[in-house]
Amino acid sequence: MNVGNEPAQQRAPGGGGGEGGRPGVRLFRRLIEDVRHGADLAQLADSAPRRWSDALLAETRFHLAGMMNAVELAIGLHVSDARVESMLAELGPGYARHAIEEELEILSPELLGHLRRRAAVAMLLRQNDGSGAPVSIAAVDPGAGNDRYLDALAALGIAERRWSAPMLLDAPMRPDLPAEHFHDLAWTVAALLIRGCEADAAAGDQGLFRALVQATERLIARHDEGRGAFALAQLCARSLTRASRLALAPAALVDARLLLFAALAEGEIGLSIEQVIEALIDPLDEPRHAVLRLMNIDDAVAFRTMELLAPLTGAAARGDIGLAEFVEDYRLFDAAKAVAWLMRVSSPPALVEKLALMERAQ
Amino acid sequence: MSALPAVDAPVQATLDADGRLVAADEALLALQVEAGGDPNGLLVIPALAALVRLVQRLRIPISRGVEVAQGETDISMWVQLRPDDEGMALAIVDWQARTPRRAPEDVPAIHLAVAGDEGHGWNWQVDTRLRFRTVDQDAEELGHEPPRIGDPLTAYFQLDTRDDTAMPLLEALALRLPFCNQSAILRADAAIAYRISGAPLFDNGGALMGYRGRAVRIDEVPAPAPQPEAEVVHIFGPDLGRRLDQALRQPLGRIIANASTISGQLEGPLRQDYAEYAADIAAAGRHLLELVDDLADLQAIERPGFTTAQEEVDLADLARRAAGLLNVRANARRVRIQTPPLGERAPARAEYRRVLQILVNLIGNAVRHSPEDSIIWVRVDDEAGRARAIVADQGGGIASEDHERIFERFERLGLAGGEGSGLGLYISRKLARAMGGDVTVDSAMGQGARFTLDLPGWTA
Repeated sequence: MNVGNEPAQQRAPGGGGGEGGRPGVRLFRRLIEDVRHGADLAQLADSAPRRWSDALLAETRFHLAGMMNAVELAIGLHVSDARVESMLAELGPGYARHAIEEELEILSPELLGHLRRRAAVAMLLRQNDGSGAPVSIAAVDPGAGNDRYLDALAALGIAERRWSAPMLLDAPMRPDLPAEHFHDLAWTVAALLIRGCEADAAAGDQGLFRALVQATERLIARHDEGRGAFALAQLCARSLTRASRLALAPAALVDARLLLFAALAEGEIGLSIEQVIEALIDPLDEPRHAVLRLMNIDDAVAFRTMELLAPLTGAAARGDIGLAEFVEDYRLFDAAKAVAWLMRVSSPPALVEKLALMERAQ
Repeated sequence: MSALPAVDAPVQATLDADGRLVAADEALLALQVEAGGDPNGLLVIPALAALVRLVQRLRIPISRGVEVAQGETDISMWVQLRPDDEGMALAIVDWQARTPRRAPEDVPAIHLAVAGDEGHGWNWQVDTRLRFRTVDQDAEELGHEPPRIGDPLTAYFQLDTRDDTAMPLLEALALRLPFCNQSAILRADAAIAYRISGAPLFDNGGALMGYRGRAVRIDEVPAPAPQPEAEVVHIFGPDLGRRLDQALRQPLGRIIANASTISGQLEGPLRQDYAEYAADIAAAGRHLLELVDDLADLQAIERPGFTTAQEEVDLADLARRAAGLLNVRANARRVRIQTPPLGERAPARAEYRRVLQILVNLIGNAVRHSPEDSIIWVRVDDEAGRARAIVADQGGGIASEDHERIFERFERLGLAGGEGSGLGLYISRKLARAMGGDVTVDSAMGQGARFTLDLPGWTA
């Protein structure tokens, strides 16, 4: 079932209704609000009716919780003050991931937007048994790329497998985030830990504050965004020729490897990897049609792609009819339309924003 | 975008805490100077300077790709920037010089490709009144004065009107179509002759924005070798299929979409008979669209030199995909399609999308001719170097004297008025034969039909 953005349409996970004070309900509401602010406003898609499905929300929570667990653990390891160490131990493992449900507004909308795209990638991998299998992709074009490509492809496969691990909210997940998002997440966890420890100690405990700041700074300084799945996918794509990128793109889609496809498309059509993923999971078909057409994807692969994306886009509710219509519409969506869409989204954001405002006013 | 030779060894530099270059490899220094910076000053290469600011602000290592413009080329680089006690260490581990990314309007899918003109001539773009908007070469490159922006194309070129010859440009302009081989001479110098080709540009709403094309000088380049006139048997003339396709596809799409919206009562309740009319319109539109598709295919496969790709395809997988595409239609007729079980394979040497097209046609026909509550079996086998897909239905069957006739053009044996174009089996057999195979039928009246797609097996 999908959940609309309108507050009246929102439904608590697990069937809980009403304005209950449970953290899960508040987390859900705030996720929606923040993401609407961050992602929807940024894309001027506030009319999009079905941006978050239950499955996508659950996947996002899994990633957020897992990475917060890992950051919390790592901060604890970097703390060199025994007193602060014991204060953290008092809070218990997984403190931050529980606490964030009360303080969700301190996460940046950009981080939530990124988590949403990451969750979409992971959801597709879960649907495919061969998730993260580099062999099938490497076999499509054995002569493609170079050692760097094969190394990155293998590392990407491993990273993707981690993303599609069983959804245990208490387990740590490697926070392989782009630098800005990792920075945001690390300071978020630090802030929650300081607040948590202060509840048992005197407020404004400078020793506590200093110890956690130093530990977080050490953690941030050791982060390597180049080992993250987004960066690995980009490394794969940039080591290929144009012909190889186009040859691999359909294979990546058939194997449900959205991230690899997005990186291949980034090199080909000039949109960022995040923009390509947004286009593919958009509730409207036009961006999806355009990206697929620009990458010369044939009808059969487009059908398979839509089948995989259906739980994310809301098309699942329409069953086979929706899929058949998607392919019918795709056949009518020619290259000229795809290019027109690309020109529109490649325009300066301010211009796109103004045009969209004018369109909505009509 | 084609990759040019890359710089293999990492390019390194150190920066102080303010982002000033302390030391740098030559390649980076050259870029810095080209960007107007001092070799020992603040790093001013915009994309790199942005990363430096990010590291200064967040104190976090960065590892990501950026693109830097350098004259006529772009440099795509993978940059690692790590803060340290003195400032920052910068390493560019992957340095690729590339031709600049094309603007969206130059995406290859709509890039004008006129046979024989590649690599020669110059590009132009005009608005709806045929006034030049862009010209990509100057006087030195052209060897004569280029057109001035804003001047009409017809004031620059004298179009060839001798002996009532065709005027491709004007005809195309009237029909909003691409054109080629418009002969012209320069008004400023009648000794300079050109061949002009172009394609229309449309805005988002489908309105004409102008034309973009190529002008190739023909008074100094050798004329292309005359191609032997191919023996083409066109049923509607050489260009009609393409023009039909262009002219009909978009309006039909709109008709189908609007009629479907009305019949689905998505915009509000409607009298049932009106909704049914709309459903009929949508169905008729879909039928016409199929016909357009078939005509486009027909024209492609009847063109001399038509070939298909030879790749490894799995008939079992394709049969499952084709059946998946037709499940909606089959369910509506309460027909079940039984496909090869998962895990079964029948590798063939053929072109993926063409085989899918054939199987969709065969299974689609079977759905069309099957009685309600019946089953269609799709089986595959792989024997003696051949791979086969068999589609069997429980329909009324085909008399033996009609077994060959059904593969003829426009043969719509047993179909009611609105069903089928009569081209599907003809096209399927043509495609199968082009791939070294065939489509055959085995049937008798009252005993259903069994169509076999036979293709060369895949051997590694």
